[in-house]
Amino acid sequence: MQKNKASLPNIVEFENVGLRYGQGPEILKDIRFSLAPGSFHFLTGESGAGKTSLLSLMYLANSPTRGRLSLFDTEVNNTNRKKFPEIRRNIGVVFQDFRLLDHLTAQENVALPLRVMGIKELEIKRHVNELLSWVGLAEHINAKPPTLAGGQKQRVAIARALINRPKLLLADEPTGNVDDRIATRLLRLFIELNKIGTTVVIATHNESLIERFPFPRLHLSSGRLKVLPSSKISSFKT
Amino acid sequence: MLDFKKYTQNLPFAYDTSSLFLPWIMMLMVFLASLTIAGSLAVNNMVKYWNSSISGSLTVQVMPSSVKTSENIVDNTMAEVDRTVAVLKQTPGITDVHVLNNDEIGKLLEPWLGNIALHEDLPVPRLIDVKINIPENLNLPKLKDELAKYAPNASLDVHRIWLAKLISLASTLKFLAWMVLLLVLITTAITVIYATFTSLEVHKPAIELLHLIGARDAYIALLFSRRTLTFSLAGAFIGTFLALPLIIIIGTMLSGLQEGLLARASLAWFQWFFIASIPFFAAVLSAVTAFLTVACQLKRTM
Repeated sequence: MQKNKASLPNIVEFENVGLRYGQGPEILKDIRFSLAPGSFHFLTGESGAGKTSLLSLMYLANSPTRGRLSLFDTEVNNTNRKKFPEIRRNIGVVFQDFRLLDHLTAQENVALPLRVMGIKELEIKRHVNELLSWVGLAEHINAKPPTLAGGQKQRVAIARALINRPKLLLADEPTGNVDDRIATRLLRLFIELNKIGTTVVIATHNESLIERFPFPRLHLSSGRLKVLPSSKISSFKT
Repeated sequence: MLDFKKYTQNLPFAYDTSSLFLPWIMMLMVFLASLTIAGSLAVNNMVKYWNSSISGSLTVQVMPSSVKTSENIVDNTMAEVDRTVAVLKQTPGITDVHVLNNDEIGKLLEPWLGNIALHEDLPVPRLIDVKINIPENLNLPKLKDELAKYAPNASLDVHRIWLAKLISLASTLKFLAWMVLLLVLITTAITVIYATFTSLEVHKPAIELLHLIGARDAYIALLFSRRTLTFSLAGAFIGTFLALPLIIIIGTMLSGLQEGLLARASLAWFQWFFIASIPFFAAVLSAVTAFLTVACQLKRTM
């Protein structure tokens, strides 16, 4: 695992976790790893290896069928679902398909996590506009997702994931719909977040990106996970 | 710009046609409920009036009679009336005895005989209006015996007996009205539940997203209940708006019957206020039903 900041509890801990959908085969088998606060990992693996399923366990869209999963020092298996919203509010997710609400503007989409938390509207407005400017969408705050290009939608999705300053950021193929130049820009954005303490996990296929940004990898193969340390981390510069 | 008053827009309800029939159903249901409640309250008022004005009294009827003397036949009716009055005045529980005069009897017979003055010689039964202090204190069998002894042509007309039948009928009508109201409530609740289920299915992806970004079940349930509240209020107001003139017309027709049995079927001001508040009750009921439906359904999700 990466540098352990002081002796803070791990953000994520998997212990012999297995996941199957209904009566189907086990998608994830004996998953065992932990993420220290402030760590940065790529999640790699072939299509169908279970990357999205692994992420879905981390953002509480699914629960493990076996094993122990702990998020922010809270054991998910034994936690009442009433406490899930509190846990989820510490997690920012960039979905592969963005999951933007088409009837809302970019501004309103980004505002959603704060709205559900009951933050005052004036405060929301200030934060949302600031963040949209930061991701380069200041000109598109009133645009609705169907009128935005793929890369712009992605940035709206990223802004929504970041708006409540999550402790854990999970991104599922965030560079899948953008060219290399924008992919690099997005990665730099995630690295900036990581520098201020956000734990980041990015699921990606993009080998060149992994080469350029040599963070440790969580590699999935046939539902099993291997943690591969970074080989070039000492020479890496952002 | 963010429109912060339109929180329900966090779900794309504008594109959801699954609940568009809700205002129409609410309109019909509230229309029925308003008529039913108005009817039930009117019957209740009538029963109260009957109880207060009739159960504390009874009527003694003295049939015309005569006695044959050695010279001729003499009318004995008034003599028997006097004996009846004497018996009544000595009976415990009776507070007032009033012998109806010809004019008063004429008024009572007016619906059948028209507005005619009763002739002195016309052999009509004499009526005695008796006021009772506490009906339960009156020993009716004893009174009957006494009258049979001193005034054999006098008969007791105890209003309580036929009033009890009327009250029983009115109570049945009231019960039926409340049953109809209950059915209306159940139908409304089922309609709201069905509409909410359909809407939940339509918005499943958006709801899942709201959950994943940290929304509580109550937040999502509130979005649905606010929308249901808006729809229900609109329909319910129209329903009451349509029902009120009908209630007023029927009330006016009943009051035209004056002193008949259906008189006093009118509503008090607070009862009108109650009927006018039905749309709010209906809308709140719908909103609460929608809230609980969503909350129960979301409990089954992750």
